[in-house]
Parts: sequence; C-alpha cells; structure tokens
Amino acid sequence: MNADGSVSVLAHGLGGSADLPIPFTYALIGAAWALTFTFAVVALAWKKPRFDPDKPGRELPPWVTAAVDAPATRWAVGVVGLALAVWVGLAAFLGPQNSDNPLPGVFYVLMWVGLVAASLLFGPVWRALSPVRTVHRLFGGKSLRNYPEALGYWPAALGLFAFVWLELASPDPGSLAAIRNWLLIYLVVTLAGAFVCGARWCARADPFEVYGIVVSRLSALRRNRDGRIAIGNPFDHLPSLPVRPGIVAVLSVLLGSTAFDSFSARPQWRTFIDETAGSATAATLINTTGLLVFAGVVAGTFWLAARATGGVDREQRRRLPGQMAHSLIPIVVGYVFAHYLTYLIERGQQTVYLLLGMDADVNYFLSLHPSVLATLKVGFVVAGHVAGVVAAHDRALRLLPTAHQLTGQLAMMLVMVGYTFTGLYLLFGG
Amino acid sequence: MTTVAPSDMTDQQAPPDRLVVDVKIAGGNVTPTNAQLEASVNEPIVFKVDSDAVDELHVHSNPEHSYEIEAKPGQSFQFTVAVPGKVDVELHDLNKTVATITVQ
Repeated sequence: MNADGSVSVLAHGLGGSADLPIPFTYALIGAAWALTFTFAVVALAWKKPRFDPDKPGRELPPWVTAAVDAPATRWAVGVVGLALAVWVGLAAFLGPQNSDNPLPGVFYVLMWVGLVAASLLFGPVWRALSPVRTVHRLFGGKSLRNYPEALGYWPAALGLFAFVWLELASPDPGSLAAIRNWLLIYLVVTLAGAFVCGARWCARADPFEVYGIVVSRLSALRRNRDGRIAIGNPFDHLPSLPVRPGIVAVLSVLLGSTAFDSFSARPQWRTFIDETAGSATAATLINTTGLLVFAGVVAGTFWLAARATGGVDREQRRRLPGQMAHSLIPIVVGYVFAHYLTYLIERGQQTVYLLLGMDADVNYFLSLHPSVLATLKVGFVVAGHVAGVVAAHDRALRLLPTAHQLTGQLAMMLVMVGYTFTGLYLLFGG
Repeated sequence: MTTVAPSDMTDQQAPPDRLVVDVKIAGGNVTPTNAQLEASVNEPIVFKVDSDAVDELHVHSNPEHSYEIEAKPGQSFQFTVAVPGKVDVELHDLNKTVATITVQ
C-alpha cells in the first residue's frame, strides 16, 4: 500500500507525537475572553475608523532601505534561496530514503510554518528567497504576455489547497516520492508561469509567496508609500492587503485546513474512515471531501457574514467580502501558531539538524511543559480573534453607512466567535 | 488475634504501574484499532502481540520506536515515552492505528 521511501502514515508524514489536548478549563477561559472582547469592541469601542493603510509608519534610517534594496543584497539572498533549494533537492533524491531524510521536515515545517513566522517578523521574505524568481531573473526576467488579472489569487488558492491536500488527505503524506513529485510539479508550473506571464505570476499564483504576502500584512515592518522601510501599527498595515479575486478562498483554505488537521486526528473520525473506506483511495476521497467542506464552510460563512448588512447597494455588497478579508489574517496566524508551534520549534530543530547532518539532541522544552504550551495556544487563538475583531470593526466603520454600523457588524462578529470556539474546541479535543 | 479487613490493607503490594496492550492480528484484521489509552511519562508500556503475519509496529513518540512483528503468538515489545504528547501506535503494513496513547 505504501510507496517506496515511505516514512510514516500519520502525523503529517513527520512522525513523532502530537500535542496533548489543552485542558477544558483553558478552552473555557479562552472562549470567555474571546466572547467578552468581541462584545466590548462592538458595543463600546471607537465609533470613527482609526486605522489607515496610508498612514506612514515610523521610518527606519535610510541606510536600512538602501541596504535591503541594493541589487547586491537581492542577488545574494536570491542565490542563497536557490542554493538552499538545490541542497534540499539533492538531499531529497540522494539522501537516505527513510525517516532521516530532511525533505518532509523542510516541506511541512520550514516551508509551511517557518514561512509564517518569517513573514510575520520580516515581511514577505519568500519574494526575495524564491528560487523560481531567481532563475527567472537569471534568464533576463522576460515574459511573453501580461498576467491575466481576472485570475487574481485563484491559482495560489489552488496551490495552497494542493499543499494541504498532500498533507492531510493524500494516501501517504510522509512518502518522499509524493513530496518530490509535488515539488517538481510546483516548480514546473511556477517556472512556466513566470516565463510566460512574468514575475507577476510569482506574486499572484505562487502559493508560498501569496501565503507570505498575506501573513506579512500583520507584520510591524512595512514600506511607506515612498518605499522607505518603516515600523508601524500592524492594524494600519492589515488593510493594505490587495483585494483581488480569490483572496477569500486563499484565507479560507488556510483556516479551514488547519481546523481539519485537528478534526481529522480525532479518534471518531479515524474510526469512521476505517469503517467506511474499504481502500486507501476511498479514504483519500473522504478526507478530500472533508477538507473541501472545512474550507468551504469558512468561505461560505465569511462571505455571507460580510454581506449581511443593510444600507448598501448591490455593487457595494458584492465587494464587501474582499474588503473585509484582511480581518481573517490575524485569526489564521493565531490558529497556525496554536496548532503548529511545537512543530515549528521541535520538528524545526530536528529538520535543521538533519539538513546539516548534525547529531544534536532536540530541545523539547514546550512539550515537556504542557501547561505553558496550553497557555500559549489559547493565547494565540484569543489574540488572533481579538485582532481579527478589531480589524473587522474598524473596517466596518469605514465601509458601512452610519445607520447600519452596529447591526452590520453583528453577523461577522458571530462568525468570528464561531471560528474561535471551534478552534478552541478542537484544541481541547472534544 | 485480630483480623484485618481488606479495606484496611495498604496497597504496597500493588504491581508496578505499567500499561499493557494486547494486540491480535489475524487474517488482515487487527484488534484493537484506534484505542484511546493513557499513560504517564516514563511509565513502561508493553505491547503483547499475537500475529499471523509479518508487520512493523511503529510508535510515533519522540524519539520514535519501530519493532519487527513476526508471524507468531506471544511477542512482547516494551518502551517508555519521555516527552509528553499523543503517541500513535500503528501497524505499518496494515496501515492501521492500533492505539493512541495520551502520555502526560
């Protein structure tokens, strides 16, 4: 049943143990805080919009911008990214074809969760590191035609779904062959897109770059209108998320898949799969459906909640889900850290050691202190929720007519409370 | 001569804490599957396996353990888990999760 090079079937193909469920009281306290904050924000907070993406941040010294933007820096970082990609490629094909191969860790931990942490701290780093962008530039950066604007972020949403499908629904996520094939298809598609449509393909259709761009909007580091690198309030930065077709789908895939990850690890779901699915193909189909349902429910509820307001015409209503989409970013990021923090820190160490061929011991501080870990997890979920509610409230004040500003927010707040309660419930383990 | 009621006795003679899981593999079926078990950190965990087929028992703890199962009754594999977490124990060839042990 398992292809050659299979490492393990469960736990994202990475092996090792999963986090302990958080204690019930932690989930309850988190839920109570989330609910209280939500209603405090809706009922008592500011009545005039405060956050403005055009408000300039505090400028860092000019040499910072000059150093970051220098062609030499760009080329150096690009070449480092390319070298890393080649190294991982060599390890994938020539390294040990067992659980000592760093490929699953690089793919599922460093590229998926590490990217979130790096984009949150430093901005959209994938743009600079992307091996495809570097290869495209090495060949002169030419293109045959413009990127079809109507596609928006849809190709990236598809790519992100393909990633979470491999991780959570495919028959053997740990199979080195499967990860290699996925990455080869990714490289072929992204390179072809870049040579046909130019670098804009990378900015709109490369799933990792779009994930990075989305997360970077929560970063304190940003660029002012004049291009200077500045530091400022992330709430001013969030609304600068470009609104393009497919942006709600991108965020829904990210949030829905993280929830499905917890859900599908529940014994009830596993027993259901075992009893219903007669073959690996059937199990894959059921998991694929589950993944689609989770992403679809997030997209559907968010889309409806954003539109559920009075006092706007049809054209305005159509635009509302995209204009509110940035308020999902903190929820996604909080959720990703709550679910994958131990992966990032503990499997991250393991992956780096494997990649460097080092024989060092992993520090399991977080897993060894379950109450610290549980507090952090609830903290991430609640902080993400509060930030999402604050961003949505402020945007509603800007978008909705005065008479509908209170009622027009209610559906969105309830949906966000729903996401957070579901998230806490899944972390608690039911 | 006084008699001691059973409820007054201390439990000094209780066996040392350990978790024993009996696993039967017959005709491509395994019992139990998806059993939810609990253990404490560093408590010995013993899997007693009767099997009619060759397989591998994978213990997804940190670090991982792997045992070769032979086609014979009365095999026994013992390990401990030092890092708290949910540990899946699965049969590799049958692609089935035998048990998930919550270690804390």
